Amino acid sequence: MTKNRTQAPEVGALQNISLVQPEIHIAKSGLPIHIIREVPNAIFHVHIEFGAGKMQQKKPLISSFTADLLFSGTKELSQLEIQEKLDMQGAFVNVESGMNRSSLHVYGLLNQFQATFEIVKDVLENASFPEDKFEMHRKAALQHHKINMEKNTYVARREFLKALFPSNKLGEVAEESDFLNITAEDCNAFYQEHFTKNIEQINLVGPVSEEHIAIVVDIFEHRYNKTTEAQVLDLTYAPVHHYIEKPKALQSTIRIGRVLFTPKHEDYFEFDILETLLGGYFGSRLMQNLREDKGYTYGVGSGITAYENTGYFFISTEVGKEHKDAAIEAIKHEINRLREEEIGADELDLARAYIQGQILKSTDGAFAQMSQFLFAKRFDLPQNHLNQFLNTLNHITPKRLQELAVKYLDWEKMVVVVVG
Amino acid sequence: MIKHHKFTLKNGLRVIFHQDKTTPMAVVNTLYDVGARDENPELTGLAHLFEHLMFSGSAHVEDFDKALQKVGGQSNAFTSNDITNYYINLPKNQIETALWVESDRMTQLALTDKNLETQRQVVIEEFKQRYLNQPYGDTWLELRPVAFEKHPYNWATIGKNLEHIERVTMVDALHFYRSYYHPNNAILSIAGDFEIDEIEHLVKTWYDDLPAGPKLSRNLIQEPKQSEYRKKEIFRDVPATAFYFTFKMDGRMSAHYPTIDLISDILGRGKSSLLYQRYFDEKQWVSEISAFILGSIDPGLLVISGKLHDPSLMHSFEADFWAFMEDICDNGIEQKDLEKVRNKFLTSKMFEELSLQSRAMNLAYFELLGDADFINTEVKHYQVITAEQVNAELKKMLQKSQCSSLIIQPESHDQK
Repeated sequence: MTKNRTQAPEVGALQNISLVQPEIHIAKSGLPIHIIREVPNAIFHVHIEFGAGKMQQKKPLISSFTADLLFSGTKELSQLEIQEKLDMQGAFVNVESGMNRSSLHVYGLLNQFQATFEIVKDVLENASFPEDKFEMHRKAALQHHKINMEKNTYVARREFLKALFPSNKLGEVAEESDFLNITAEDCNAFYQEHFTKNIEQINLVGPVSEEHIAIVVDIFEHRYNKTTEAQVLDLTYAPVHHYIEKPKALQSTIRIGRVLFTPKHEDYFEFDILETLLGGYFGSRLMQNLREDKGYTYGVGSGITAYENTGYFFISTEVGKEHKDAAIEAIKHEINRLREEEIGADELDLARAYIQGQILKSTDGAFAQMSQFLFAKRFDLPQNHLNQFLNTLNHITPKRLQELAVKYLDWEKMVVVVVG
Repeated sequence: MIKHHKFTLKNGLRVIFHQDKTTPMAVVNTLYDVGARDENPELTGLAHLFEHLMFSGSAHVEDFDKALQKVGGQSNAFTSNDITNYYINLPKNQIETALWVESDRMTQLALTDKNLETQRQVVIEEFKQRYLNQPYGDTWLELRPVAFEKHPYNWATIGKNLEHIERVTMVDALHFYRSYYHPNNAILSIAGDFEIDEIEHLVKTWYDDLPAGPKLSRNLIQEPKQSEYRKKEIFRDVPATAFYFTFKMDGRMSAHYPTIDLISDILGRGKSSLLYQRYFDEKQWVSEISAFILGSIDPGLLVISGKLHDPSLMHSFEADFWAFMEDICDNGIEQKDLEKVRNKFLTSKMFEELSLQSRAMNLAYFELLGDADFINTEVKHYQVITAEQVNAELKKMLQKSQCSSLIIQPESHDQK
């Protein structure tokens, strides 16, 4: 067998993206249930979305406390009894609270499906938010908060959000006093209002049968409420520079970014490519400059966070404190370079190939395919949006990328937060 | 059942192939049988620093990451006290590029002074980010030397201190490379939609001519049996009292390992666990508490850790903790405690197996432990564990004389 090591192996052709579309069942009430059954093991993951996020809460922490305490007791069962039953079934539950919704994830073994959902049903009908569990949680959550406030990254993220969204709930962060003001009754009211009857959709991954689907329909059907409309937000912000000094810190956390747009915006996918070139992968300009050339940091990256109402672009890194100013200068330099010079063809080709691989990976397996479907649905994109993205990727030019950089990566529009 | 096919090349490279016809991706996982435990005690952190250096490019591949990115691939790695593991995810029809770059750096890494200097700085920043610049970040730097007096598990993968990282020279790096990086010290695991013949052909094409390295025999100082309780207390500017109680346990290949794994879950995984029930729910002394095992190949540790609501509770907590451990040993656990954690283990296992990368990585790891097929037989060992076995093991393990602890207390609480 002979080979020429100096010659890279031939590059294979781009593979077609084959995205399995979930089956869509619409219950009589209108509740949509999305199902992907192509999973080799006899397990299930049921994901239930409630219109119950931070946007819906009247004061800080209610949505997250309600999520954390959802399984803390029902009229009949104590937290321990609920937990022991779930454990015995080999089931896991996890409740996450997000900006516009909360999600209940139930993971388990298919042969325990019915038993597991008896518990879930009880919780959705009879959660009781016992006072003692609430107090224990409050105490623990407050201590976690105090410990987190000693971490530069946590403080930087809070200050960054506050600066980006000073006039709406996206920038609302919890203070110590909020932990003391919230009550079990706040959680119970939020639960009654949003969890018992505000289900938006159910997503089911696993080799389920019609009986399993019927169980889910039976429990959740009448709790359907049409998707909560995204609120229109006041998105004005000032591009402040904010430095919080921590005398004993060895490193400084840097977060730089600006308010941008949702994936529905016409420039979103093109900007996504620009952002990847800047800081979205190991070969990106920021990673090459700050880490691989200068050794200022263990890692630096950029990204876009998207909500229904808006989105923001950010750069984030932790650098040796002595490199703080040089690192910000290097970031500024890379941003301006994108605005002043066209990207070389080789560099664009590299990012293109990398992103193509990532797109392929993002469709690999039932869970990934469900995520893609939900992303498109959430942002009202066509279900073939990945193919459209591939098309955009193949045709975007260095000139267009420079235009986007000029349009969106204006240093004067950036919030800069440094902690450390 | 995870089917796989094994073969060994003349140079000693062990290869495992796992076919999955449902995925458009491929995983190429390369495990080197070297970890922090193999380091010179005077120059720790080298295995991990070297993992960074492996991305420097090689004789025929100028830029390792770029070569993969060009075909839509992505690569990363991790170092533990036992192993160094590299993995590549890429579209299946680009697999040959992965084998090209991975085989080239196995014996012909092209290190420059600039690579070494930059990665030294990167690792120093990693050290600060993960271990020094956050509350409790240095727990394992402090705890390992207490728990292990002789065995090289007494330092963390990142190294004992920054000074060791600063001292590594090019000679050290190259010596390390020549000692540990060669086909007969590696296991290559490939997963994806391929045929056996195709993989054998490709692997032989790229790896057959690599020279075998020196035969290695590991001769680590074993940890002497612990004879008495060891405790270290640190007073510093932290928001809460953190405690870590570690108990000596058998290594990864011991017949008792699955039992001990489940014991850690019974003690401290989730809200129905024994420790959570007693200290979070009943006594309401802690804001968090959990138990886990390190999972090391040589005899290691079962760890119970948590944080107290109030530093002044430490004295009561410690007294109660030892009484509780004694109580658990004397009275044992109930059958249902065992069933709960076993069922959760089985679910976790089934979810973990869905990931192509986990399968490729676990096959390589189990092959290192003796046989890749342990990936399939492991579950059976968990299924036959009885409450009696658990109780016997508890009695053996949860002895105060086998414990080493670390308590990190807020400064203001210094008991003069």
